[in-house]
Amino acid sequence: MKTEAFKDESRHRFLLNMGPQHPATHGVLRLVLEMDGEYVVHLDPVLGYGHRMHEKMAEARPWPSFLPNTARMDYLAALPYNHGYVCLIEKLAGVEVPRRAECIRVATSELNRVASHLLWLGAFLLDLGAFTPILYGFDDREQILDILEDITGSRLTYSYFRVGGVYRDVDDRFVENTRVFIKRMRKRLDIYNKLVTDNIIFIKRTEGIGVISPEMARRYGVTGANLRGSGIAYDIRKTEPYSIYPELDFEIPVGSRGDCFDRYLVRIKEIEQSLRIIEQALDMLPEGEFRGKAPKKIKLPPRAASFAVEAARGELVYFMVGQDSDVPYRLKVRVPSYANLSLIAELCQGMLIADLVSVMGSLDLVIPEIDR
Amino acid sequence: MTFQELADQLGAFSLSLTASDYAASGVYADLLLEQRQLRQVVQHLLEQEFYLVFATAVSLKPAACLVYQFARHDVLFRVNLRLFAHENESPTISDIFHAAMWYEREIHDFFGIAFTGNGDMRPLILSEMDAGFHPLLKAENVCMDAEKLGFLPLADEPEAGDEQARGSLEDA
Amino acid sequence: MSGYFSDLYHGTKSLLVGLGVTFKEMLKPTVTVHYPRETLTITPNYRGHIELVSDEKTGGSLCITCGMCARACPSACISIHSEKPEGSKKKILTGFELDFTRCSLCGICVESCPTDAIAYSQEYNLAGYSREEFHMDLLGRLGKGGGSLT
Repeated sequence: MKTEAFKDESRHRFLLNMGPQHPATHGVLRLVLEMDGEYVVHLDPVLGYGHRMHEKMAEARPWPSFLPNTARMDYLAALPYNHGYVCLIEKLAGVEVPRRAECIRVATSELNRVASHLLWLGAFLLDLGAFTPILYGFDDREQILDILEDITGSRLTYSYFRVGGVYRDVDDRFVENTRVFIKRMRKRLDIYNKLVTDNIIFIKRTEGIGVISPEMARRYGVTGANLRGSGIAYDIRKTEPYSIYPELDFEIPVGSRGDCFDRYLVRIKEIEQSLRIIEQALDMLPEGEFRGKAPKKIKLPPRAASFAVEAARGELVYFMVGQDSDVPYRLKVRVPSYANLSLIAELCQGMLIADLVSVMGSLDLVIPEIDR
Repeated sequence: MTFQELADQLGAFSLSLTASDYAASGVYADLLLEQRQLRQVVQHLLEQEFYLVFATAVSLKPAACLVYQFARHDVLFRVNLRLFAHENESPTISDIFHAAMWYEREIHDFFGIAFTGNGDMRPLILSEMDAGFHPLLKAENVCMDAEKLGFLPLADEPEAGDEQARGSLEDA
Repeated sequence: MSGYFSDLYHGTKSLLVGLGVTFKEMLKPTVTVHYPRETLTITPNYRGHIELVSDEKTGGSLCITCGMCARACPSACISIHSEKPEGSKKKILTGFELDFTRCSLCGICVESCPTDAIAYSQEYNLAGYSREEFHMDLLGRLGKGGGSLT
């Protein structure tokens, strides 16, 4: 990658501002690049353009009022965020969740994960200059959004889970529509493979680019598909299973080299696995209550507690300190993209700027989640 | 890696790992440190293939408490490291776990805790204009005692009255 | 050198396969809708802004002015005005205002209502020229049967 010309320090260098308004940063992120021609010599990410201080908001209101906020951090996969938050409260208050609700939660969370991966797929390829896949991706994602809108009432920031269950029961139409979607999606995955996975231009743009070694991933706390692309089979759904995940049969796809192509492949395989999970959750769906009894007032005990879930982009941890009232004393949200982006300065040093765009796309970043 | 193995290894540094009720707290072990012990323990955790899940702070009396959560990729084993940032200072671990760089800068923004040895303490999320403004630092009248919230300070730690330092912080 | 020719062969083949996919898709019916000439029907479960439910018997509101929704709202966008007429035991509702500029459509107010006096509207095409247009007087809208925003 490094040419002789690049090593020559005496050549003219210049600063390049990528963002804050740049389509390839997938949000309001600014990268200050020190460039030597086409090569990135040094990279400095600037965060905070869209920071809303959710953690402060959590300290200023009773915990139920924070629930809508959780959907607004990672707006592409809001349900896992709802899930982690209600699970933490349920753990602190000892609330039992009916089995039907658990099945609905898992099925809808996984649908949301597929939707998020589809949007990532489209956006990633758009970054690489391929326009067509995003249109197919959005077509499929639209089906998921319609299914979720029908039961949750909204299309993006669902706020669907409640402590003790979910906000509205699902009906047979949901089950039927989801099964139709799964069937359709399996066929579509074949199209994606033909269109993208085997495409020579795509392979040349991603293979061997932005290699994250397992050791580097550990130092930076990388999680999610980015970590699994480096060959470490770490998934909270398996390692620290919550809800009904221990009963489900699914695999964790891993890559071998840790480059952009492996991260792509892992996510495509994850879509397949998520479809398997949804199918099983629908098969299990028992009759019964969708919302159990939860005490009206829950006082958060005066101690620290955390709960981890696997969001679409990696490990999401809510760390809460209560103060014996319904207002938390401190809530820390560990968002996966924060750690996933922090390695970019080391990863992209000496890289071509076109490859930087490829790496950024493959990391699947959602900036409002970092600027939470 | 089991709880006992890590407890034995840390015993070599004459530190005692406390078991934590996983069902209630979400972590298996809890370790309260003094500032001088932090770096060697963290170095040990890196060698033992732990990764840093997050680092954060909780604004408390008499001093803010830093919380570092570590976990492993191969088995389920979460550990919380805690230490009190007396005088609003703490040693950096950003050269050991690179993930800590952004967490430390964020804590510096929000709580005004300076990390000694961290070469880059520029604001990360706030802007340069917000110097001295620390949104998550609790005011005197609402700041809780560490003991009341289960963050027991070390018994032999000198009672550092860092209330003076609060709010009037210089960059490291 | 053989690697070069095999790359060339497989590369060209992969591009042709990809073109085949797009060609097939081209012949399929359109999946998009030409908004605003055509619109999709919205699901009845859609969570729009809130609306007061009218009492079938009296035509008035079911609201008992307990203020649960206003307290439950994370963004404090509901304000309720009530008064107690002389000789009456119950308070009556004199105004129910929603500041829709701050509403996040979470639906916690609807859930907290003990008398089911609030429900979601089906409106999603909301646009206006000023903020004040979204300070909605829900009690006033109740008399007009909800209806569109003006």
